[in-house]
Amino acid sequence: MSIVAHKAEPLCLAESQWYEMQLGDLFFYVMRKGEVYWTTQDYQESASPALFKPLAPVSDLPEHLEIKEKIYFPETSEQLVITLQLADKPYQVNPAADVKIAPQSRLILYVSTPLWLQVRAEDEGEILAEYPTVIPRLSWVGKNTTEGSLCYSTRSSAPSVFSEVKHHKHRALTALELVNDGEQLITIDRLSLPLNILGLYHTDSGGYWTESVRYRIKPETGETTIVAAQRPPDELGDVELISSARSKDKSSRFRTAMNLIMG
Amino acid sequence: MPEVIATIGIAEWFRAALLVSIGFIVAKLASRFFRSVTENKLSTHHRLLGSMLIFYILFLIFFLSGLKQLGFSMSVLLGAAGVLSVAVGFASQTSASNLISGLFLIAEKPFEIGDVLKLDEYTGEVISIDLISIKLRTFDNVMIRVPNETLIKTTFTNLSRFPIRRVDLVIGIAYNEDIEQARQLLLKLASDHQRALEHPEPFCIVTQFNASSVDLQLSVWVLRTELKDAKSELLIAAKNALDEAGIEIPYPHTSLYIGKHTQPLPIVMVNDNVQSKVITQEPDK
Repeated sequence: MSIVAHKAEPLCLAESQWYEMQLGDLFFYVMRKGEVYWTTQDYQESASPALFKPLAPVSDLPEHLEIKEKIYFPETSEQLVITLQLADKPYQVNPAADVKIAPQSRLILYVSTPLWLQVRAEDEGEILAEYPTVIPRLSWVGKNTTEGSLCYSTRSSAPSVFSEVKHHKHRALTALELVNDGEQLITIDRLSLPLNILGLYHTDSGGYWTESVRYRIKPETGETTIVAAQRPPDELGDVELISSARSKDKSSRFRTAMNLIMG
Repeated sequence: MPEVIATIGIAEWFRAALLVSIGFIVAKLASRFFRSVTENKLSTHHRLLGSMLIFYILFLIFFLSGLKQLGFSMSVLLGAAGVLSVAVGFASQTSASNLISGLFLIAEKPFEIGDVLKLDEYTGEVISIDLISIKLRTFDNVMIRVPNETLIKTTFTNLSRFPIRRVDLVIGIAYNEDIEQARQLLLKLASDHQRALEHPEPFCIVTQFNASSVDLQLSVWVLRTELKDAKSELLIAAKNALDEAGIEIPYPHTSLYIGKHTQPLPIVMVNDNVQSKVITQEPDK
């Protein structure tokens, strides 16, 4: 049985048998009864170590849990799959320490963000249910409290050396290239990462990655441009696409990213 | 006038009625078409306004055409309309005032359909914006009609204009408690609370020395839609956290101190033989 480590495989469940899967803080349970899939989920304390357990049969549902969803999915040519995806909103990344970039220089930061687990029809089909592997915290990003948008928030040690990057099975890494195009020093205390415009990739050696993102910043004017590369860093070698970007509209993708960058 | 009407043939009446009926149907269909076409493009407010305008303009055109079929001259009608408007204006000052106020409200757009307004003692969701009045639905499911003129004249609060709101909780602690400890405790529970936004960050300040307590204000930013739940959950969490830390939330009472507040109040018993005895009372735990 596949646990979403690679490209999604059809979900083949024995009749009336509960299955459990653990990823990050998430406990996911699913059972098939005819053409109906019963699902429920639970979360562990966020301070606990991350969970990882492939989808496997369990004797019964834990007592304190109730069935939260019943997904009717008739047996047709399409199959039901469990797969991974990036968050449905941009992430505000707060580096553990302020990052300062000298004029006319560049820096690469590696940040990781939690993944979402999706139950959906095969081949990029309809999303029937999805759950974050870690319950995300919301944050507001904008000029003030009246103009802006909601995003998720995460803290990151944001290493700048590729070899120092830590891999987690429930998180995806993004290489952020920050380019100071101006003549002044810039200080970055938080960054908005437009995950909804990025795809999710996997390599056996490097875990989950998104396409790399480059920010070109002119501190004098405050102008920032963002460019999403076509693939994750070259150091990873061959990568396999797990999920395409949630947002397909490139112009709106660019606009959203521009609006969200750096608050 | 009755003679004029008598000269109109049945065929003209029929044609006029047909035009007005067709006009009504066409105007209704056009306004519905506009609403369906703009479903995901315009706000509910603008869709309603646009569909109303389309309906009234189209219907008016057909209505005037119907009158023309009956032999009415448009130039005479326009002249009569001028005189009529003065008469109608006097007769319907309030309605006209509401109508004009409605136009100002539409132009200013201080709220939209679906917004929650607080007006005097009423709080409710805007369910319709009409030419003369708006309709509010209160949370106990009562409809309130508010004339547009009232809205122009009075102050009202739009509670759902912005997507995030700040919850301000005032929590009193006893005078002998450690203020900084209580402040840090409240800040931590706010930061850990799932509904609290990470940014803008929560803050906690001392607001006043009250009669029985030192008042702290804990301010937490949350989603507008989660305001009530967040407020209730934060209050419960604050009570539990302060109880757990042994920090007293005082009820209104008066403490009498003589000298240092840590020393108990001495009670002096005086008897007839001029003997005095001092009884020390244990301070309240």
